Amino acid sequence: MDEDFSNAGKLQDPLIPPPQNPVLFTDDQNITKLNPNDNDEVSSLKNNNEKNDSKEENNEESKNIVANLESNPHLLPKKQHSNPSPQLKTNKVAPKKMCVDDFDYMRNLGKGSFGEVILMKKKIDEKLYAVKAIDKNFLYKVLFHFRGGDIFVIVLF
Amino acid sequence: MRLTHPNLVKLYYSFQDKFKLYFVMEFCENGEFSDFLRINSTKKIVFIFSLVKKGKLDIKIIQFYAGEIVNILEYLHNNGVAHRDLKVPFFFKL
Repeated sequence: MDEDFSNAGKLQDPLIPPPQNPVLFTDDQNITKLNPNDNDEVSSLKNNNEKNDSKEENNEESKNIVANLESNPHLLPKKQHSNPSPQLKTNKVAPKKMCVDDFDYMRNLGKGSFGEVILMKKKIDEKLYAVKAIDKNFLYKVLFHFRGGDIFVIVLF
Repeated sequence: MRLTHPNLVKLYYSFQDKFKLYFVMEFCENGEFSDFLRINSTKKIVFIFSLVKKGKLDIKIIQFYAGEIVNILEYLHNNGVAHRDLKVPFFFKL
């Protein structure tokens, strides 16, 4: 999964052409096999760059980088891991965000010191979960109580 | 740091409302451990060894549960966590 994401993040680098096959960097054997195919893609991408940018400097830089990468392709995954793009984080967080509407209320299980515990059934897989619900106003009160309203009291979290 | 152990109640999701915080946790079907003690004593919670002396509770059962408790405490302490509030209502039966 991580390597797929790293390949997706590579699209942001304008100088390095994106690989068409994400399988390339997972196994060492695939790299040796698929390198000739990759060269064709790189050449097509170079042509695209010439059409779009019409700048010789960028093309030279890209050619140099591509030549370096072809000579030792193991450099690629290291660079991706050291510079994860900001898009990756949002992609990882965004899909799973639950809310109360994803659950059906079953019954109350009991009360703890901070709030009540409710037995709820998840609508998707119909499994039972114990949901602890804590009132925010209550939390603010408790935190203020521990603060004591005095700046000079050291707070232990 | 995320601690996972079969003896720890798992926290699956957490989300918040405008008014409340929600923690979706594992549901332990067989209830509290204190209920187990109440059933065996037919009274309120009694000191466990008094039950053993009267022959109402087998000592092997107690050895099992004590071992489970020591097991999870060892795991927590190895990971640098102190519970600080260990008591009967915090134990559940899976």
